[in-house]
Formats: sequence, C-alpha cells, structure tokens
Amino acid sequence: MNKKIVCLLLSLILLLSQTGCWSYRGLNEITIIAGIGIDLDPKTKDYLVSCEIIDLTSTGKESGTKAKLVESRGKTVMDAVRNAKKRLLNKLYWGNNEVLIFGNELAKSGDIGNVINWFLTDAECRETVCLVVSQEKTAKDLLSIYGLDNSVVAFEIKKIIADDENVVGTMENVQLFQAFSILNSPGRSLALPAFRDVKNDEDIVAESNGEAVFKGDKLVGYLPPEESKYYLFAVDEIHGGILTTSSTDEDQTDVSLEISKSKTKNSYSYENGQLKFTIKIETEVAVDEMKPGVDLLDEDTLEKIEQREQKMIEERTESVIKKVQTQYNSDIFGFGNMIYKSDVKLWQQLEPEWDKIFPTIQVKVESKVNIVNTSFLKHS
Amino acid sequence: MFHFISRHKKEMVTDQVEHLNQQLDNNPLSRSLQKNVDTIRSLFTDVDILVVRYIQNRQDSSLRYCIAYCDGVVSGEIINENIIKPLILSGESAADMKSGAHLLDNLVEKVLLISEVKKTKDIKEIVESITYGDTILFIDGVEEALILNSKGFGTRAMEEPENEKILSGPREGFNEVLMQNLSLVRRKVRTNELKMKFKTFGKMTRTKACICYIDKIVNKNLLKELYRRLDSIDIDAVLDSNYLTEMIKDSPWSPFRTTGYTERPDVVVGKLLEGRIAIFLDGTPVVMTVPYLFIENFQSNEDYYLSFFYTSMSRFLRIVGFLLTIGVPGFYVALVAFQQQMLPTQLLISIAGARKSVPLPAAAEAFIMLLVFDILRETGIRMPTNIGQPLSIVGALVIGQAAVDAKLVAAPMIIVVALTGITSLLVPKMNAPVIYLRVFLLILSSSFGLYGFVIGLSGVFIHILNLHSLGIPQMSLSGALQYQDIKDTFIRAPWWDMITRTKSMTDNRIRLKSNRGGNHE
Amino acid sequence: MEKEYFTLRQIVCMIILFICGSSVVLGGSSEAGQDSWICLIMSQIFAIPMVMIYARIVQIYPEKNIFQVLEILFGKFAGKILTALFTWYSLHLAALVLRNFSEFIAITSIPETPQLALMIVMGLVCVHMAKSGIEVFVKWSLVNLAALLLLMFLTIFLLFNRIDVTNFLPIMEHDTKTLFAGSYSLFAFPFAETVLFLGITDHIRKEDKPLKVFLLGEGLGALIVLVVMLRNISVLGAAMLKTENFPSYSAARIINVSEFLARVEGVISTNFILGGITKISLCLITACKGTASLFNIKDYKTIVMPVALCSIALSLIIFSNTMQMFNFLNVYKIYAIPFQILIPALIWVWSEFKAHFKEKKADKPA
Repeated sequence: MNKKIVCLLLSLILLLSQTGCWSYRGLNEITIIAGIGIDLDPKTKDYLVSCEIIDLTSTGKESGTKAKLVESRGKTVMDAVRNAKKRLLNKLYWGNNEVLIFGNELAKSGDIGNVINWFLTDAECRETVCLVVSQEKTAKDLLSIYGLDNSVVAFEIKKIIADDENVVGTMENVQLFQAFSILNSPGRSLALPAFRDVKNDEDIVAESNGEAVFKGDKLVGYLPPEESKYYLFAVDEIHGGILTTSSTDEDQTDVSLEISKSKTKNSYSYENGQLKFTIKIETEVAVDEMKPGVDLLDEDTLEKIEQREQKMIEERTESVIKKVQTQYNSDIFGFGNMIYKSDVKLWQQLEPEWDKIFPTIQVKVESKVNIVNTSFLKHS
Repeated sequence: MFHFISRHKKEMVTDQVEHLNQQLDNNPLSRSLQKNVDTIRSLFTDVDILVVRYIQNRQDSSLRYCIAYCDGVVSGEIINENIIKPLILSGESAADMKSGAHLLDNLVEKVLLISEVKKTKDIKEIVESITYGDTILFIDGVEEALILNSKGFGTRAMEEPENEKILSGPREGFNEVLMQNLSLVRRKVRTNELKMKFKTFGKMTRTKACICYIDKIVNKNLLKELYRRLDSIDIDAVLDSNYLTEMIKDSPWSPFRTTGYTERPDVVVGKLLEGRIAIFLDGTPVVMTVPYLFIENFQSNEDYYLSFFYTSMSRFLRIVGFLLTIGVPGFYVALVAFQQQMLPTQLLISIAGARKSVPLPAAAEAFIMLLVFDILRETGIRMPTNIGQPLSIVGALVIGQAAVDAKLVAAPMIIVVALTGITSLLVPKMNAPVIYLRVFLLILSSSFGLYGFVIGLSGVFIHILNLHSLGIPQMSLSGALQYQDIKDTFIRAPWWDMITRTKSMTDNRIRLKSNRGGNHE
Repeated sequence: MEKEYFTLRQIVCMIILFICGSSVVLGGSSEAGQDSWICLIMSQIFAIPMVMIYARIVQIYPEKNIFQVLEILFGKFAGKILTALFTWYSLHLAALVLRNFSEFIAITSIPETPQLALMIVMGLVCVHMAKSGIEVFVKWSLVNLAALLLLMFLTIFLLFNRIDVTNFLPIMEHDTKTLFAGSYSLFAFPFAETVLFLGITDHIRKEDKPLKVFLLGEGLGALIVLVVMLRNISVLGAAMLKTENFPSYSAARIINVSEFLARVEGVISTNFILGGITKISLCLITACKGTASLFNIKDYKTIVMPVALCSIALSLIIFSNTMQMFNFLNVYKIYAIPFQILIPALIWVWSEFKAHFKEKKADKPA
C-alpha cells in the first residue's frame, strides 16, 4: 500500500511539473482579431492581410472598445499571417473573428476559393464568419475607417449584415461554410454582401451596398441594393424590408409596405431543349406609410395596391434575372443546382453547356401580395 | 470487493492497558471489607477524586459498609438520601438480613432506594462503573459488591445543533449523554421493533455504544456485515463516531463519506425508518448512520418538513451547487486559457481587458485564490465568534477589492472564487471531497483544457460509482430507472407518493398503503 | 466474489453507446456525400446477420465469453491461438480509438500538447473504469447514454434553423458500387465492432434472450447514428461533409441561436469524449479478459494496468501522422474481416456442427 502511494505521488509530481506549458495560452498572450481583410497586390501577387485587432489598453473603462489595424504581406495567407507576428507582441487569435473581407482586386482575380479553404482548414477560425466584399479599392480601406459609434468596424459590419435580412432586405448573410458549400455544389454561383465607405456627417462610415456577384470564384459585378432585394425574392431569402412604389400613379394611392413574410417557390420545365423556370412569390405585407386620403378599409383600394405591388415585383424580379443572365452570366439563383437536385440525368446532360444555356432560360415570375395588416390609422 | 480495513494493530493498545488488566486480574474481591477498600485504593492511587466512606448501621453495629465513588460524576443528593441515609437508619437488624448471600438481596430489596442496582464480583466492572459515576457498595463479610447507579454529572442542555440549523421542524438535538440521546429516539418510535443493542469500544476509554435499528425494516445482511466490521475494531480510544466511521469505511482512501452523521433525533428516526442502522456513542452528540447513499449528501431533514415543491427545488440547487463548487475554477481556467472560442466576443474582450495587466497566469491565480479562500474559511471556523465579523470584512475588502485595484488579481477570478466558496456551503456534508476534487479538476483543466476537465470529471464520476457503504453501492443506478427509485433523489416527491423504501437497504419495501393525494376518492 | 450480471436493458444501453461512441465523432462514411444515410441503412444488411451470429454464439454457450468458448471448441492449443488473435484485435482497437480521440482533441483544441500525456490521462480513467468492474461500467454507460441522447436532441433542436432538407437531394446520385463500399466501411466501423461484446458475454444471464438484446442494441445504435448523420447532412451539405474530418463537431460549431446560444461546441464535444471512454474501456476489458485467459490468470482486473499501458504505447506508434489515421479507415475494413467475420463465423459453424453431431450421437443409442 505504501509503495503504491509513493508511486502515485511521484507520478503526480511528474504530472504537475508538466502543467502550465503546452497549449496553455493565457488571454494576455493573444491578440484578438475582430475582422480581417484580404487583398491581392496586383503586381507581386502577394497577399496583403489587414487585421483589425482589439486594443485592450482602453477596454473595461467607459471609453468602450477600440481597435487597431495590423498589416502584413506574404506569398500565401498563412505566410502573411505569420509575418504579422513580426510586428506584434502576441500571437494572433482567430477564434472570435467576425468578418472576412475580400478586397475588390482579390475577388476579381479569382482567389477567394483559396482563402475560404484556408480559413476552413484552420481549426481556430469559425465556420460562421461573415463574408463581405469591399467595393472600395482594397479591403483595408473598409477596415481602416472608424465605425459610426467610433469603435470596432468589423463588429459593426457583422451587425449590419445580421440585421439586414430582417430589416432592410438587401443582402444575404453568407457564412464561411455556406460559401464553401455554394462554391462546391454544381450549378450554383456565389453572391456575397458588398460594402462601401460613405461620408456621414463628418466621418466616413461603412455602408452595405447590395450584393457582389461571383462566377466560380471570380467577381464579375455588383447588384445595387434595390436590385439585390429582388434577387433575394428570387432565392427565397427575403424576411423583411420595404416595398415602395413611385408616385407617378394617377390615383394617389402611394404607400410603403413592410414585408412581414415571403415565400418563393421555384419550378422548371424542360421541353424541346428550352428551359422554363417559374418563380412563384407569395408575400405578406403590412402598410407602413401612405399618402393622405387613402382609405385602408376600402377593399378596392387594398386590391389596387396589391395588384400594383404584384406587378412591380414581377417586373423587377424578371429584370434583375435578365440582367444577371445577360450581363454576368452567373447562376446565382441556383437554377442549375435545382435541376441537379431534382433530375441528375438532365443536369449531367446540360452541365457542359450550362454557360450557354443559362442566359437563354425563360423565367416567369408570378407574384401574389397580401396586405395583412394596416398601421395605426384607418385612413389618412 | 470491500476495501475494508482490518488492521488489528496491537501496537495501538498501550502497555498501560496491559498493566491494568494484569493488576485487575490479580486482585479478586475478598470477604474482608478492609481488604476490598485497600484494593480499590491501590487501583486508584493518585486519583484524588476517589471518595471512600465507611458507614455503620445505627441499630446493629455489626452491619458495616463502605461506599466508594468518584467525586464530581455522582449526584450528592442521591448518595446522601438514597444510599447513606437508608443504610444508617435501616431498622432491619443484622439478624434479619444476615444469612450469607441473602444479605445483598435483602439490602437491595428492603433498604436501598436506588433504581438500578447490580451485583458484581468483577473488579474490572467495578472500576468501569466508578469512573462512570456509579457508587460501589462493599459490605463487610460479603465477597460481592453492589454497583448503585448514582450518576449525576453535569450535562449540556439539549440545544438545537449549531451546524444543522433548520427553519421549521423539530428543534431538539442530541447531547453527550448516551442514555438521554436514546430516550429522544425511543420517545419518537413507540414500538418494540426498535432494537437497541449495547456494545463497548476502546480498550482504554471503554466507550459505550448503542446499535439501533428497526427489526422489521432493516436488511439483516447489512446488520450482519456491520457487526462483523465492528467486531474487528481494536482501538484504544473512541471519542467520536468518526473513529468508527474511518475504521469501518469501505474505501478507506476515498475522501467521500460512506457513513452518515447527524446530531438531530428526527433525522436518526427518519433514517431508521428507511431501514438504516444508527450507532450512538457515549460522549458525543454525533450519531452515525449506515448505510449511506450518495444522495444523502444532498438531503436535509428539512426537505421532509417543508412543501415538496420548495424542497425539490432546493435539492436540485444543492446538486448543481456541488457541480459548481468542484467545477467552476477548472472550467473557468479551461475557457480562459484554452477554449477562448467558447466565450462570446464581448465577454472575451472584457475578460481579456481585466486580465491584461495581471502578473500571474489564470491557472496560478486560481490556485492561489482557492488557497486564500480556504485559509479564510478555516480561520473563520477557529475564530472566537466575536472576531468572525471583522475577519470576514477584512477578508472581503482586502482580498477582494484591494487585490483587484492593485492589479494583483483579475476581477473575474474573484467572482469565480466567490462562487466556488458560496456553492461549497450548499453541500456541507461534502466539505472534504470538494476541496480535493476542485484542485484535481483545476490541474487537469490547466494542462488539457476543457477536455482535460471532462476526462477528470469522468474519473470522479467513476470513483463515485465505485463507492460502497456497508457493501452496497452508494449510487445505485439500477438498470431500470424506476420512478419509485428517484422519488427521493433529484426531487423530493410528496409523502403520499413515496410508496416504497430504497431497495438495497431494507427487507421490507412498502412504506405506505397507496393513498394518492390524500383521501379525495 | 459474486459474479456480476447485466440486466437486458443494460446490455442494450452498452451496445448503443459502444456503436455511437466513436462514430459520432468520426461521422462514418463520407465518400457517398448526401447518400451516406442510404449507406447506413444498407450496412444493416450485413450488420444484422452478423450480429445474429454473435447472438447465436451467446445462445449456444450461455454465461461464457468468447475466450472460454474458443477453448471449449478448439481445445487448448488452437483455442489459445485464436484467443491471442482476438485479444490482439481488442487491444489494437483500444489503441485505435484512443488515438482517434487524442487526435480529435489535439486537432480541435490543444495542438501543442504531446498526445502521450493526453493518452495517459485518458487511459488512466479507462483503467479506473475497467478495474471498477462490470457493475460500474454498466451504470456509467446508462448515464452516458442519457447524456448522449439529451445532447443529440439538443443539437438538433438548436440547429433547427440551419436544417436545409434540399441538402439530401439528389438522392442516389452515387452508383451502387460507391454505396456498397460506403456501407461496408460503415459495417466494419462501427457496427461489426460489437463483436467485442463477446468478450463480456459471461455476464449475461442464461435466461436472457441474447438475440433480442443484440438486435435491439444494434438497431437502436444504428438509429442514433442515422439521426446524427441526417443532421450533419442537412446542416452541412454534401460538399462540407466530404471535406470535414469531424462533421459532428463542425455541426456543433455552427450552432447560433440569436447570438446567445453560440460557440457551444466545447460542451457538446465533451459528449464525444465520454463515448470514447466507454468504448476504450470496453476494448480494454475484453483485451484483459483475453490476456487473462491466455495466461490462465484468475482475475482480469489485476492485469488492467499493464494491458492499458501496452495499448497506450501501441496507439502512439501505429500512425505517424493524422492523415495515416484517416486513411487507415480504408485498410481497417479489410484488416477487421478475420476478427469481425471469420472467427465468429468459425465458432458459429463449428458449434452448430458440434451440437448437431452430439444430438445424433445422443439419438443413436436410443
């Protein structure tokens, strides 16, 4: 028994002497990254990595969290990240990184696949990082400004994206693993939120600006916010936002409608080598704002408004689809993927020619709008 | 299966005891009064509290007696009024009584006004009785002595035990006198099925113990096992029931309790009625109960006196408290030093901000703060009560506020240690294991992070599953988790629903005739 | 000492936990992408008959474990050789699972820590379990199964907003060859690994119906793996599933319920560790029983420590890197054939033959 205890104690002491090293990484030994921007140097083809790091010297007190920017370059992303350590006290820590921003240049050169892969391979990066494309020259331009509340701009961008789909309805929140899935699934192209810098009052702040359209892993163009909304209608990702009509109508029934619920159903038919897609959009809206003199209790008026909105959605969605088909030729709506999922054989037949087929697809949008709720007043 | 210690260490029995035994064996009682008195006096050399008094009957001077007792442990009134007075004034003449051995019987039957009287020839017994407050009566010409019960030592009042305070329910508590303690239990269970068997422990102390159980409920195998273990105890002194606890423990190296202890008669009765066995010990208010299930660590007698809604909640809180008190420091270190990813960003930033200028790593900080906390706690217990208050203020202020302000310790660590400390008070019956488990988990967490923590927790759980009390598993998760078996564990079911007793402990499972929710039929 | 027995429910629980133990972490077959779940169902075509054979062996030789059966059937010499083989398999499996888990932990959270240290700590816990005996092991698996189910349903609940049923489409995209290959590797790992239960069947009572118990355990285990697999496919999609080493872990990582319940993968992955401990412990117990019968040692508990040390050492040297470990899954399904199929089948055929022969012999004089 005594021998056993001695052995146990000895092994415990050995074990104890080993603790505290290895992977132990105290919070004061890490540099927390809030957001990261990746650019490509067009001349040297180096990766330029800009990390927005949390400045801990000011936290805890009333001034709020501040951030700083760290830049580095390297032949690969990993190389660039390691090079950043040369000018940092502590190791970079990715676990709480919230956004990944692609620079315009990088996105155009078609390297986002690599970057996404690297971030997924690294165990520390989270799969739920939001992806953003910078419409400024570089991703750094987006990160180097201060947010509206003068703090961490990466957190702000993340919050804007997260809230957008419920409030504004102009962009789709695509997270790292979803982007990877889209890039790797047949017949589907990627669309990522785009951001730009705008002047607000005295400062420059980041603003969401529609969607960036990719073909493969190359950026081919942008959709402005208003068009992005109808893109979202087409892919059934709209959860909120406003529908407005121009005031050129003769009967003065202009209103703003808030989308409360929307459901899109896509179907297709293939006859004589012609693909036809039908998009059925069913939307429930609430009246938010109206011109004086509109009687909301009048069924005719309501029906008139509904009809007009339906027509507008149909027209605009079709025009956005047309634009993407002809201008970008990028299947961000996942029409090919739909065929792949429901009829593999047909897809295998169409796949080699998909780039040629996609612009020729006939798309018909059928919309139905129901006003389910009025605002506070009966009429005004 | 049992890791039961059966170390009969003869070394424990001191030479003095051997010597005493020899002396006692060499000195049998004799007919001569003087010789018997001399024997007693020689046995009690240098024991100045021994009082020896000669008495002669007033009527018949041939009736000569001598009483011997220890001053302080006897009641003077009893000796004066019930022993000396009748002996002196007794009208019976020597001729009436004196017929050899009948003299003793006559004295007992006609003269002495004492309820408990015992004849003896055994000098060992005489020594034991004198030291226990009895009076010994020697009679000239008789080879036997009488042991008269004249116990009258000061006893503590039956107060509510300090460490088992409750809000509602019976408030009496045991004191140090065995017979009074037994009377408290006896009064609550008025049946002949309540058995009380006496037994003596300790070569030197000769401490009286009483083994109590209810015949119809107790599991006979457990009773046999208990006797087997008690019989093998060979120790010089037993001052508290913990002596016995450690001697009969199933896994002697485990920090967990495998016997219950209480100072409250209502608790003892409750346990007896569930089929447990209680061991009372003279000289201590603490009563030991076996077998002890793991869940008893979380039970309190009050659970049964208050509404079951309320007490189910507090039962649950205690279990959570136990997990928190062993786990929080380790979990915190694992999060802060390994799994930072699990912290929400805002929390991470604020903890990182708090930690940035603190000199020690979180693991070392946790060790030191836990040590400081345990020092404070220990001081609090040992302190005279009137200093306790200032101490806690100094502790809280100095250790907490000042250390954080001076950037010696990060503020989150203070919260962690405070939470650990407070939750440890929820499970007072496990104060020994929690200290060790906490440190054990902390070491594993600071080497391997969260996974180390989980592996350690699994080890602890396996250990708990391994624990036995009197040979029955402390945590009995039978294959079929039946409702009746969990009624008094994570929750406290209403009384009308606790139909059966715990299976492993009793021969007679049915507690009540099913009578759901009172008589609303 | 009294012999410890299982109840029916306990064996079922143990089999379920054993099957789920490491497959929940490694996630089973992935080459079939979104059709993995079909592979799983197909694997039952092999698994059920095999499990029935195991159960039949238990039925013919009640209250005996495989090592005793081997000795009865094949005599001292041949029996010992087969015992040694089977013992090797359980020892090797213990090492493999141990390695899987230490790699998992190293990759996901503590890459700089030497895996030996981690293995020793984990191994010690398993030794503690194996030494505590069957009674404790049973209780442990009971509690763990509850935890496993609870966390499984919790993750499904928390991931509800991420579930995309179109991820299952197109169904049956892969050809039957891929599907069969996938289903066979699912059969070898984890379902046929239940062969290790034959090492502890001496704790099953004579009157219990082994067939029912084995099939029930196997079926429920398969059901749980199926649910986990469906969750992973629907949440992650085929593309992610094919590249991920630990799909369940990734699925847990993307849990995010309104920014509040997020980043909980650490808590959920602890469940994997518990399953791993169960599996390693069972492998250890079987290996120890085999070793004990090989060297005529009475109580297997006395040799738990040395056997565990052997398997820790083995788990260190079997792979030189992580890639080898993942590739070994392909080798494993061939390597395991003798232990999972041949030896049990041999025992079964031989014992049926013997029983038949005996019957005839008994008939003749009458």
